[in-house]
Amino acid sequence: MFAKNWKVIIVLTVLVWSLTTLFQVIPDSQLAELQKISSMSPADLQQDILARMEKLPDWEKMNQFQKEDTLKTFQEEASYANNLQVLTHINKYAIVTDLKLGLDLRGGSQLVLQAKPSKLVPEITPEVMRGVETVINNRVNSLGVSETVVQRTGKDRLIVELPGVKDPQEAKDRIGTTALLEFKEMLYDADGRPLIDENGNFQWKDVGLTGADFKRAQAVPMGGGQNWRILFEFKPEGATKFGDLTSRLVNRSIGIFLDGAPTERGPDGRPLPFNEYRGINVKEPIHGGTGEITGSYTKDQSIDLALKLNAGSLPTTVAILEERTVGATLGQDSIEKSLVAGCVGIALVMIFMLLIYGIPGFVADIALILYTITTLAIFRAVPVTLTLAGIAGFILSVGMAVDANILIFERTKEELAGGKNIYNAIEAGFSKAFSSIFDSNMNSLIACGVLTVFGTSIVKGFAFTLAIGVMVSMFTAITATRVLLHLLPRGIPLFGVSQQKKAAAPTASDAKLV
Amino acid sequence: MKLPHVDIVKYRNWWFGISLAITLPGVVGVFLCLSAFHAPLKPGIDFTGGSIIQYDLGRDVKLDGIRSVVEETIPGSQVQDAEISGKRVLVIRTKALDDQQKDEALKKKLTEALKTQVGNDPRSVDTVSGIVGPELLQNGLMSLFLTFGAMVLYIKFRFMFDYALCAIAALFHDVLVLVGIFALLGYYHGTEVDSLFISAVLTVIGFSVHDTIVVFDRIRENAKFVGSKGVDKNGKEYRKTFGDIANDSVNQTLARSLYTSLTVIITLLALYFLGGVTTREFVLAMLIGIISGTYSSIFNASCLLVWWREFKSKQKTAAKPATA
Repeated sequence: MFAKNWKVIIVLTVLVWSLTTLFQVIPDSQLAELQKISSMSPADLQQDILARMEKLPDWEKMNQFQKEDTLKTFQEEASYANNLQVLTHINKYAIVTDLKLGLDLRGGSQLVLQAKPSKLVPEITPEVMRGVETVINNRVNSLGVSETVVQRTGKDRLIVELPGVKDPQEAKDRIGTTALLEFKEMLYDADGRPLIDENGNFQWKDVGLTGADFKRAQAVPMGGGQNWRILFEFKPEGATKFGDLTSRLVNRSIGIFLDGAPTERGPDGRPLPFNEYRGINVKEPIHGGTGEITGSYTKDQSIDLALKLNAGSLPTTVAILEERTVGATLGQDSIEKSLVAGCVGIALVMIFMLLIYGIPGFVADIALILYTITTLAIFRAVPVTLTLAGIAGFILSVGMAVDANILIFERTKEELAGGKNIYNAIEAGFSKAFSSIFDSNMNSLIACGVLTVFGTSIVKGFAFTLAIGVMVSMFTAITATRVLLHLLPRGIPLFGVSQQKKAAAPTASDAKLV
Repeated sequence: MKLPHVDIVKYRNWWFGISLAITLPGVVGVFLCLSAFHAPLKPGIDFTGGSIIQYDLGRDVKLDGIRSVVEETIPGSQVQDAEISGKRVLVIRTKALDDQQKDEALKKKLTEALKTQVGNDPRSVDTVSGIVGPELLQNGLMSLFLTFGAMVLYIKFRFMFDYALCAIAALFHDVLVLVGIFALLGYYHGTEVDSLFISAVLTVIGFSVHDTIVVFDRIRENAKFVGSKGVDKNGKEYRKTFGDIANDSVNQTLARSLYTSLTVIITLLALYFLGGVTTREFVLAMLIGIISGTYSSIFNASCLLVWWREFKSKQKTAAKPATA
């Protein structure tokens, strides 16, 4: 009994998970609150968040790290409010979803960035701008599922458009600290003691090593203890420079600065002032470009430092000139029409299936609805920022999901024509259609895998949604359809044949279309 | 509704001929575009870059009127609503022209035409680069060829190497049909391709191979019947060749091929006729590709496979006496 029912249970579980993931029910009062937040201008929103945070009872007691975490929660709430789409109201509750839509579908925020000349990069050449563009592009596209637009304009500017992001702070976080990371050496007097200026600050000298030479850093816990360390890696050129530097500076200090300020923070999250920052002591020359920073770092401190090291790999300083909110690239009016058209299209497909296959077609339609809800729920859970490229992938996967059912049903009809009874014909239809469904879908998945790994933005967005769709369709079109067909009461005619036990062996002429 | 049994393999030269008749003008179109625009298709603003013109906009101004004025003056422009620090702003993206003087003149014409609609001068005019830069295109093409490689390996692993080559050939056919038609449209009608076209091409590639594999799956399944006895129309017995098997397989999957394509085409037609204007060319591109994909998996892929097998067996029989 259980063996027969476990598939039903899985299908139901998937349905429940999908529905609860895709849709949330919130009281109207909370909705009003969220809508108020989403209608605020970016500047007002920041004021509002600050004011609400200061009202928290234990605000005073928090250290800097905890305060930043709290800020992040408030920002996440704002971003949720901003992505919210109200579907319908029931009583005093609203059914909402926060599926993320891309720039082309619902707009987002636009930042104008300006690259600033520095001592190392005295002039912003097109090559420098290309470097900046690449770094920013990598950063905003690092998740691969959110399509952003990065455009060069003028001599030294970049326009960055981020989908659905209205809070400028969040947008800035996504771009990373657009700051310049520099390595400097500490100056010593003739006796080997650090030089200190009149304010009690240590003296630092530029060595020509910047974030442009740096590859990446990662915070990892030390074995057993409370302390953490930071592993880091330089690019090949940087590795040589860093090797020379560390050979020269054994037992001396190297400082790491972000926009001229020390990168480290105290255990309480307070940025270290110049007179307390001693840099990192070089124990031995580091050749080969990889090494680690150890010391009495807490988890928060080490993660913060690794984040700053990773964020600073720009060849020059970049400042944010302007922030604005933009509408959907494709035009809101146009998108609403297309949404309706898409629904009409799917409805027509469902009618088509019903006309061609009758009751099994109806079952396939239910599987198609399950497919749509599950795929969208996975899009929300990942989360995937849905753009038109993603929707193209989605349409294709809907086609493939319907195709799987058509393959199975056509095969079943052939088996019926070959003289099998309805039950055996359905079973044979599933098992014989499986190899073609499996091979075509595996081929699509492999293609999507390659495109996701090697492709960028549009290509990646397309491949990712298609891959999710294909995987879900394998489940809904095969497992769910089969379960539903078995759940049908006996005696209902399927494929023009009544579903009686041991029906008289039908001949080819009996297997007419409904 | 019962589909007739069609002798698809027998008339293969016709099918290849039809494909050539569609793709050859397309290839000419690509060359025309190459000479006219230095690109295989007429590139849109996403590729060429251009100008961003911004206007302060009153709350009650409708976009439709503005859109038609812009489309009339500089075709291929994008019109977009934006909000800058609480104020409604109109953002127009227009293409850069090769001729700078002409470009300036057009922009001037546009701002004058819009003055009556909007009521004020633009607040800013900036020149921008394309969204889809050469790096992105190169990366896209590279990842596409890697994908083809992976597909060939998979089909070789599950089927055979010649199946893989024929599937890829059918795929190239479909991409060529799509690109060719848009090259011709671009040259004669001024249709530009934007970044959405990339998505459309990807969709067509995905559909084409998917469709072909289903037909090949049937050939693979039926291949064991090569050499078995069949009875022709006149009641005469004959031994089934690979061509007969392929023909049977295509016929057995014909209903499925047509139904599946119809479901996709129904959705796309709804999107084309009822959907927004901004996505119409994108949908058209997918429609052309899906129709071509259906055609090529029914008429080209398996015929190509049969042709290749027959070519090889002829080579073998021709080679045998020489070695003996």
